[in-house]
Amino acid sequence: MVSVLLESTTKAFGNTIAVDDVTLNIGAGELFFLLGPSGCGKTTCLRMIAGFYEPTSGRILFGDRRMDGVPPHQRNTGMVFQSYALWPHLSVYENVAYGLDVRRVGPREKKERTERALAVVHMEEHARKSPNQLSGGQQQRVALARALVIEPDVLLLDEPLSNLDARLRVEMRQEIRRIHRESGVTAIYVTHDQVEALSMADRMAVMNRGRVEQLGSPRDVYKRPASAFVAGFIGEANFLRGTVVASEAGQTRILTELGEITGVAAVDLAAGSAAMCSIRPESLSLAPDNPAAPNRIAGTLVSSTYLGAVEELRVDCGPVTLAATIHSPGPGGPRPGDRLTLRAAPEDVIVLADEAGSP
Amino acid sequence: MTAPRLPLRARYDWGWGTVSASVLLWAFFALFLAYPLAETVFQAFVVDGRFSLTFFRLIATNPVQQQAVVNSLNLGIVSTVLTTLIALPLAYVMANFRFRGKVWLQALLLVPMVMPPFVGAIGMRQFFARFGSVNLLLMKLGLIGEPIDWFGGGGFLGVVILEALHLYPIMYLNVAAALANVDPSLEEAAQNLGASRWRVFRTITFPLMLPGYFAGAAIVFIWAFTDLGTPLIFHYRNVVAVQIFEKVGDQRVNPMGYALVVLVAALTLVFFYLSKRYVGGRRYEMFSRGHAGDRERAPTWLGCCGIYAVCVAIIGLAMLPHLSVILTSITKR
Repeated sequence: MVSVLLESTTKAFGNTIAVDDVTLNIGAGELFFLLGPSGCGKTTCLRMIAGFYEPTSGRILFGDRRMDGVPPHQRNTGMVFQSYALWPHLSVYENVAYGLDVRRVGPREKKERTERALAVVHMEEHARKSPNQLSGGQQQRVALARALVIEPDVLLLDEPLSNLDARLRVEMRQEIRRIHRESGVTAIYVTHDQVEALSMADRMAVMNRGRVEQLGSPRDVYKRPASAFVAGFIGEANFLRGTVVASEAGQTRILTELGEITGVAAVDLAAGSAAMCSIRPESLSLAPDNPAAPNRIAGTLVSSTYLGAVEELRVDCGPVTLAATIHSPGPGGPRPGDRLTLRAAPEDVIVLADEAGSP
Repeated sequence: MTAPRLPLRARYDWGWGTVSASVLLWAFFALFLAYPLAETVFQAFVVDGRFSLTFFRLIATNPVQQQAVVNSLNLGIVSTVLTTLIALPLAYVMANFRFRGKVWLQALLLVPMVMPPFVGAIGMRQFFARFGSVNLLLMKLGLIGEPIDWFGGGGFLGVVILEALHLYPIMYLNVAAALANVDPSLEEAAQNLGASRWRVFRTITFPLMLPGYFAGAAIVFIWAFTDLGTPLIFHYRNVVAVQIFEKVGDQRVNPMGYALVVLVAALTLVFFYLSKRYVGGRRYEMFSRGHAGDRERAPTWLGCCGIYAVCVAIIGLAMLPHLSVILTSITKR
């Protein structure tokens, strides 16, 4: 178990900068997520930690050991590849035992550790099979066992679940959580799937265009997005553009197309500056008839989708249409065409800097 | 799979184009493949109008014929080993490194294949003969007193070198294709688990390339095993191909030649079958979904020089005999 530090790491391929001055401090034993759209540099970060790429500038440390410049086979990381990368000419057992062979582990210990690793991923009865005879989920388990059996300092997972079907994905999420907890290894997990990140991560870094946009726990990142990109990428959000009126007592008022909205500022914004606020659909509710409450938005119901516990509404508020997710009302709830008023608690409204080109 | 069988009329295209094309094809193979083969087999097995194994018994008991088969096998095996030693490192380097002029080098490496090997053999003999250019030059410079017999051992070495220099492009093409087919993430996975580059090649890359390698090896082996021109020019006469040539090329045909042809054809088929059966049949399903690692990397300056030196040396060696033939042909005696 070691901590992993990327210090102002930059990676350029020719003229394109894939990773731009990224600093990450990943604690020992942490399950850390790199989340972002494709091309954001998350896989490049992972491959720099594994040693397949050398950073153009910056440092990489495992604990207090300098790792940049060390070839991949001397870093003692265990990587799970997106394509599983199991060797088709070796059996499942031989695949898992490979790392132990390389480390010259004695025959008895090798057998013991290989069998234990296969047992951890519940694949012990498939040991003699060829990887080609396994289903995607089983291959994924073998790949995990192969990476864990060497007791790596760091476990690296590159979109490990992206080739599995939805049901298996949910199951494997639990499995990876369990295995991580049991082994206590420092794990770095790359994904573009926000649900995976939110449900599994201890902490996560949201990346965009080679930079880290936000670093924090899933709760922080979801509840308190630091930028419009993060708010839009993780979960859904309604965005309203406007101008800052005033900031006081931790609350910021901005004047939007839909009137004055009060929220919590993610960054310091001077009065008069351009801003936008982000409101999650589930933060909107049907307002009680209390004209004194802040953040009241009137509109016309366009459509409603019944999803059992909740109902998704689309409300035409004039200049913008808002999405709202509300607890399903009983019979007699609003119908398309009805006038209604939405409200959001100020602590659920995030005021962000208005960036050019953001949603 | 269980679709109802269509009547014959509906299962095939009976248009006149298809029919005439297939008739022509069948006629072609019947005339140029089936007929000569049948004729050869007939000549080999039928003596005085009766089936007989006389000639095969003669091959089995005649030490000269036995030696011819052994020599040809040796020729095939050593040529295959030599082409492997040339082509495998070349293909590995070409697949793993990115450098200036690589495309040109790759194209040039294939040139020896289009040159007929016996022409090279003629040139080689002029160079390395007892009173050939090399010996004369060395003697003139006073480096040696007596001419050196470069191709001692009855010409075996010369034949094998010529075959290797001619056939390595075939091996190279097959091995390069096999190498390109190996998913780089399979190699990265091994590296990640602690294997050095050499170990990755030995335990992962090469085993995965084996089917492609054997495809190339089978062609090279059979080619060298049955080549006539090169051994002929080096006076390395006791090989199966030359034996056949001498017996069948005579005015009075010796049926022993036909028996040897049948033997060679049978052996060739067996080798081909074995290579397919045990290795060629195993095709690995390898595909990279998602991020595929870039296999190519830039070599050091010194490494780049080394790559160039080796490639130029091989191409030069392979072309030198041909050049000498060309030069000879335009020189005044």
